[in-house]
Amino acid sequence: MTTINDHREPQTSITLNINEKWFGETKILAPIKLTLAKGSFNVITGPSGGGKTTLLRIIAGLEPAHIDGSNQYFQTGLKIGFAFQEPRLLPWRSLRDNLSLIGISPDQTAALLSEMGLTDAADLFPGQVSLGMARRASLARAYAIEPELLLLDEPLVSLDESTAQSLRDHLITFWQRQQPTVLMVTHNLREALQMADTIILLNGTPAAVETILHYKQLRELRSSAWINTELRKLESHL
Amino acid sequence: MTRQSPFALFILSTIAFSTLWATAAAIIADPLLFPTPVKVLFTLWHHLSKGELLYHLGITLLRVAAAFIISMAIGCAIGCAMGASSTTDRLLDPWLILLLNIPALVVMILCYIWIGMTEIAAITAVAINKIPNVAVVMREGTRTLERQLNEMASVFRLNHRQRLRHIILPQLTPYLAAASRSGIALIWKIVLVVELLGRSNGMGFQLHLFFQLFDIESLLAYTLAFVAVMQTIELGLLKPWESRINRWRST
Repeated sequence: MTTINDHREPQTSITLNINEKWFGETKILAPIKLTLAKGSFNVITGPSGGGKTTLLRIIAGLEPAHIDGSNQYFQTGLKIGFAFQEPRLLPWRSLRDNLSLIGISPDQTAALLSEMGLTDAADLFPGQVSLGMARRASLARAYAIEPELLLLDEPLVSLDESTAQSLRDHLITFWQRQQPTVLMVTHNLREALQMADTIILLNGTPAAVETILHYKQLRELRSSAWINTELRKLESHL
Repeated sequence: MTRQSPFALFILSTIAFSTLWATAAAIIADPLLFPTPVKVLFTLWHHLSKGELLYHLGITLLRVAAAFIISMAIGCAIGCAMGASSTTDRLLDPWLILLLNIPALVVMILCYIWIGMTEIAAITAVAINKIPNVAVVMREGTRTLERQLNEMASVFRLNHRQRLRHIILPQLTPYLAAASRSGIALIWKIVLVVELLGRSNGMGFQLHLFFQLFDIESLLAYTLAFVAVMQTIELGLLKPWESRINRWRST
C-alpha cells in the first residue's frame, strides 16, 4: 500500500511505501520503503539504469506503480517541486514567464530571478541562454512553489564544475531557508557526500534499497579529506 | 537596407513579368485572345469604377471567410480529438479517408442537389472539402505534443486553461498556420467553382460570364484583382502573424 504519514499528527518524517514497478514483463523495482526525516536532505545513488529516476517519477505521480495488485498512481498529498534532468522550460516563453506561470507574484518572480543571478536574462527565451542558466531557471521554478517535498533528478549533470558548485551552494541555501524534504538523484558521489544527510543506495535487478548511510557531519566541516575518506567507504558498498 | 531589398526585388520581378507579357502579346498579335498588360489594366480600372468588381470580389471573399472559419473550427475539433484518442481516431479515420478522396466537384453537385441551389449549399460544399485536410494536419500536431512538457505541467499542477494556453496551443500553432495557409489557397479555388456552378454573383459567376462572352480582357482583369487581394491577405495578415508566433524559434 502506498502511504504517507497522517497530516493531523505532528510530522517528523515522511514515509514512502512503494510496491513493485514493472515495465512490461520486466520487474524494475522491488518493494521499497523509505522513511525520510522531515526537512532532511536525502540523496539516492546507484548504478546507471538502476531505476532511480523511475523511483522519483513514481513518487511525483508521473508513473504508476504496482500497488495492492493493480497499477495506481502514488498520491503523496504533499506539495511537490520537481527539477527534471532536462530543464523542461517552455521554449516559447521567457525565463520570467516560465517562473510566473506556476502561480507566483511578479515580486516573488523578480526576487527569485535575482537570487539565481538571472535578472539580466529574465526576458530571454530558453533557446537563447546556456544550459547552466536554463538549469538555474528550472531549479528556481522548483523552489518557487515552496515545496514540502523537493525532487531533483540529476540536476547538475553535464555542467562545468564551477557552475555546478555555485548551484549546489544555491540549493543548500534554499534548503536551509525553506526546509523542504529533499530527495535528489545523482551519480556524483562527491556531490552526494558534500550535501546529503542520508545516502540511499539503490542496487540490483530489480532495484532495491541496499544500504542507507547517515552523515551527521556539518556541511561546513566536510573537507576534501573527509569526503575522500567517506568516498572510499561508499565505493566499497557499490 | 535589408527592408528595401525584398521590395526592390518584388518591383524588379513585376517589371520583368510585365515585359514578358507585353512581348508575348506583341508576338501573338491577337488582342482579343491575348491582350496587352496595359489593356488589361485599363479594363481593370473600368470595372473598378463601375463598382461591380468590388461587389463580386466582396461576395467571394465573404464566402471564403465563412467557409474558412467553419472548416477550421470543425476540422480542428475533429483533428485534435483524433490525435488525442486512438479510439476516436480508429472510429473516424475511414470517414476521413472517404472525404479526402471524393472529388470536390462531386461534393458540390451533391450539395446543390440535396440542399438546393442556395448559399448554404455552396458554403457547405466548400467546407466539406476543406474539413478533412484541416483534420489531418491538426491530428498530426496533436499527436506530436511533447510528453515532457505535459509531465512538467502535471507536476506543477497547472490547470486545464493554463495547459491549453501555455503548453498545447503554442505547440499547435505551426500546424494551425499550415492548415490556414493551405486552407485559404484551397478554399478560394473551390469557391470559384461553386459560384460558377450554382450562384448568381461572385468571382466565379463573373468569370463564367466572361468566358461565355469571350471577354478575355475582363477575365484577366478580374484575375489580377483577385490575386492581388489574396496576396495582400497572405503578406499583410498571415505572414506577420506567423513570424510573430515563431519569434522564439529564431533563437
